[in-house]
Amino acid sequence: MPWIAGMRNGTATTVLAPMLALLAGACGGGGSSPAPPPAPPPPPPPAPTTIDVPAGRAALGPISAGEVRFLAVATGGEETELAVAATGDDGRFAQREVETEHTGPLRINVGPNDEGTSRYLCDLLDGCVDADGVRAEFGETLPLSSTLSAAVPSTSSDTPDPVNVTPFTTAAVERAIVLGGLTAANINEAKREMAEALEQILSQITQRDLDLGEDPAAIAIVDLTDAADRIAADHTDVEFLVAILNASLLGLIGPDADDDAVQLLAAAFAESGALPENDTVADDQAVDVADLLRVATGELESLLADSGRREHVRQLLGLADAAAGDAMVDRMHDLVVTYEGVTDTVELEQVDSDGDGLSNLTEIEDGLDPQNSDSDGDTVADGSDPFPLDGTRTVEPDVFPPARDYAGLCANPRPGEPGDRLGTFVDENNWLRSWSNNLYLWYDEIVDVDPVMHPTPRYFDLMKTFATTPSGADRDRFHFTYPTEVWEQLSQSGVSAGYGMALAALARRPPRDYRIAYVEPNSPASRANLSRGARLLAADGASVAYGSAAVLNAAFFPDDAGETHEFRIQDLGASEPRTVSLTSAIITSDPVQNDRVMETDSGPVGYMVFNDHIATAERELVDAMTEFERAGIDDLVLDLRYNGGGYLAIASQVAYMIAGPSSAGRTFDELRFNDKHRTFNPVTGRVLAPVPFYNSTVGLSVPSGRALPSLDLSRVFVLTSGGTCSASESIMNGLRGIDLEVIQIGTTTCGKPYGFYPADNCGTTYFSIQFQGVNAKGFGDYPDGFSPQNTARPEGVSVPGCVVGDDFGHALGDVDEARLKAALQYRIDESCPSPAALRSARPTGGSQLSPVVDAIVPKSIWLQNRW
Amino acid sequence: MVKWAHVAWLALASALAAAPDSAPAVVMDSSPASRTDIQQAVTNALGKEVLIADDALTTSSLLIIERHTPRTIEGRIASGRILDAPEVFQLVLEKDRCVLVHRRTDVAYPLENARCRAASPAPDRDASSNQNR
Repeated sequence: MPWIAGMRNGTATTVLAPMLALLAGACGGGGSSPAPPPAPPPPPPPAPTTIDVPAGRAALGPISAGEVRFLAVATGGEETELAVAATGDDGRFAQREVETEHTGPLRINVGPNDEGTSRYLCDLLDGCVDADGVRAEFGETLPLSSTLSAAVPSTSSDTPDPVNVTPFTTAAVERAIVLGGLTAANINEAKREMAEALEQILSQITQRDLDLGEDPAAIAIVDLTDAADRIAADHTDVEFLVAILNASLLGLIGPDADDDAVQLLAAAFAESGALPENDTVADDQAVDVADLLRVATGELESLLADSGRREHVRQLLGLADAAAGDAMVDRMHDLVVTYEGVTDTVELEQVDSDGDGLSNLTEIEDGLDPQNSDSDGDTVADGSDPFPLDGTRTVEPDVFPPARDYAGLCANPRPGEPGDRLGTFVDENNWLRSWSNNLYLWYDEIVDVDPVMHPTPRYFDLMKTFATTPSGADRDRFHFTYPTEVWEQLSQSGVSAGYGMALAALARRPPRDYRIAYVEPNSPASRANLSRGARLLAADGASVAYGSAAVLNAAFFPDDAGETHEFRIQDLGASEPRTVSLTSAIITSDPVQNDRVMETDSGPVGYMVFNDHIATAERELVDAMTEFERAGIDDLVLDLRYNGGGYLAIASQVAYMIAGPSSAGRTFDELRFNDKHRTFNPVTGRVLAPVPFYNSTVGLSVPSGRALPSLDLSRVFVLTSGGTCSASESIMNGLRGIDLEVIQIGTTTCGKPYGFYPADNCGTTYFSIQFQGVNAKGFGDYPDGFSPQNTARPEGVSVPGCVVGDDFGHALGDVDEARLKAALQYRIDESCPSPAALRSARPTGGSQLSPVVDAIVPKSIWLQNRW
Repeated sequence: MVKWAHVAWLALASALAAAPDSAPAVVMDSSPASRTDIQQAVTNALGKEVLIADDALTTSSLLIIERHTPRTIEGRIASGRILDAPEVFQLVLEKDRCVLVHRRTDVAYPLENARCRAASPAPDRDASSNQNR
């Protein structure tokens, strides 16, 4: 039917009454009926009046180019078309005046036009499929095939409220017809029932009581595909939810429908006055309300989660106002909540606007900020923070998640390091906390400090015991870190850049006193005729005693080969100092030096300096011990004073070669972890088993499996200092474990019966004591080291022997060197030198006396603050 | 990053045995080119630069790589009880080719610019002699 005189904006009246009356008569009369009996003259028709047909909006999604028909509904149900209009692109149609005598119910139908140009927008996020199988994505249009309806109880000349035409109003119209026809009473009842049905279903989603009023047709339509419409200030949350519900319902029914989804919904509601729930709404279509809720909630969450629309939707839901702390908080609270599921199998997720792992409802109920993932600002997301309102607490005391949960979460991820992800310092501290709790030997002595309380370096410092040894020293003196890139550096065994001289610190603080402890063969130092005992006076013009630490470090500890520096040296016994220019080179250290057999009146005695348990030492030890075996030595003096440890397997081999075959296979050293790991090594996963006395080579630098030489001694003299550490001490402890007498000449050893598997995280390698080594007798408690029995104030485990200082007045291996001399004397009469005897051992030549002291040998070429 | 395998020592049992058709070898006339070859082979095997002496493999067929052991300020090595095994390379002569074999993986790296000769027939005399004893 042609649109007649479509005046815009209601400024003119279109007069249709005569034609409409004619059509009504034709429809009601039926031209082929028998001639009726004569009737009394009809009463004069009521005078036409002017009514306003309401404005409104039609949507499945919003309909474009839909044809809108306004139908007067007579008392008997007959419908007479009053006007026809078309929707705009947004589904809106305008109010207009119509001259008619009808003042009763009005029906509004919106359907496809004759031209086939009517479309509707897909507003389902997952896309839509129409009855013909045509698919459209969110925001795209589909051909309109459905007809939607709404009913108005009565018309009048007053401007009615907008009438919005949706599947829900369509269902209400069908329900009214089932109730007895489109009378005002039935229309109102059907609207009430529909409003109630919507309230019920939305209440399940939102878990609040919603008031939709009495007229679903009054609920304004939100175009979910239009960001501007979604955030329009005049839209209520109910309108937004109803729009999502509508999209979800049609999405749920539509794609598989053989018939029109709107009609399915309408038929279902007409039947019972309820939206479909566990029911068959058509012959082969079952729509479960639980599914409906799932889809509707999913749509809601998707809209919220979509970053492009998130802020708009937030604003629509009042979240922005919630952040401002006004009454809108309640509104958001009501809208965004947990749904536990209509059935056991359906569980709906909560909306989490700030992505912190907590629903907005939970956050509001807990007093958190639903728009701030870290409400207390402690860098831990609210959902991971057991104390989200306490910026000083982020973990449950005594609850330790696996360290792997935090591994690689770094405050500053290393570029190009695939294991690193962006995290916070608290994540790094959490890793340390859990790692330490699992592996630290004294984990139960760590005070559980919250990871948020300290920066990571300080936090690591706290992840240890603060107990003391019997001597009063810290029990854990081996808790430290290195940059991973430094720890991971590799070199050929024993190779480093330097001059080939080891320094001994007699005084590390000004006035400093440093001597040469020993010199590597074939090194710049040896070629410059430097030797043990020489005193270092200056380097590059800076005095060793008081000069710049930076200048001294740069000179004495070159980073690379090829650096030339000038030194002032006082050689042992020389009358004048001399100046030496040294150029650093790649040095291969010699871990076993000065090995010799000394013929004495009481038989041959072997002596060797063993400085490093590095791989190349295996061969040198075998060679030296072979010579000792051939010489049939009666005693061995093993000089470990500068040996800080290394491969435990080498220590075991040394011990075997001293003790001989009777030790083979017995326990040399057994690793004991904390009481969480009694059976398996927690790092390697292997069953814990003792390290035996190895009676053959292990392949470090000699083909493995070769029988080791053996001396079959019943005792050994060991020369020690504070630098005798770790694997070196294990030689002493391992031998004592099989009752081989160890005679200690020197000073107290460092006291490190412990070890660790270093672990990397975020560019730092952590060293934290994880195991203790014990001997065949189960003994390993020497945290204060081993002390010769005549030590004035024994610090460590007392061992037979003599306390003797380091004698820089003699070369290592010189029978007059104080420690070796004392050892040789002790083997004769078990006597120890007196302090006076030690003093007499000092050299007399030259201007410098070389003291007999216990010295520290710094070997590092890279540590800071070495002076 | 090189992962140091926590291997049992017995895993090294065959590490130093040359393949049947090859013989342990040492480098003759070490040159910058041969040293570059060695460096490159080790770098390829371990994935990082390694500090190697200029005379590597000239007196021994073995090249042992371990951590560049950091030390504490007192001179003690950082990890005083080392339980890991080092990386071991062995130079072998295969026909006329110098080949550096990474024993943990058995991957062979030909040294194109090195000249080799068979090492001392006594395997246990294969390493650098210890001087200044």
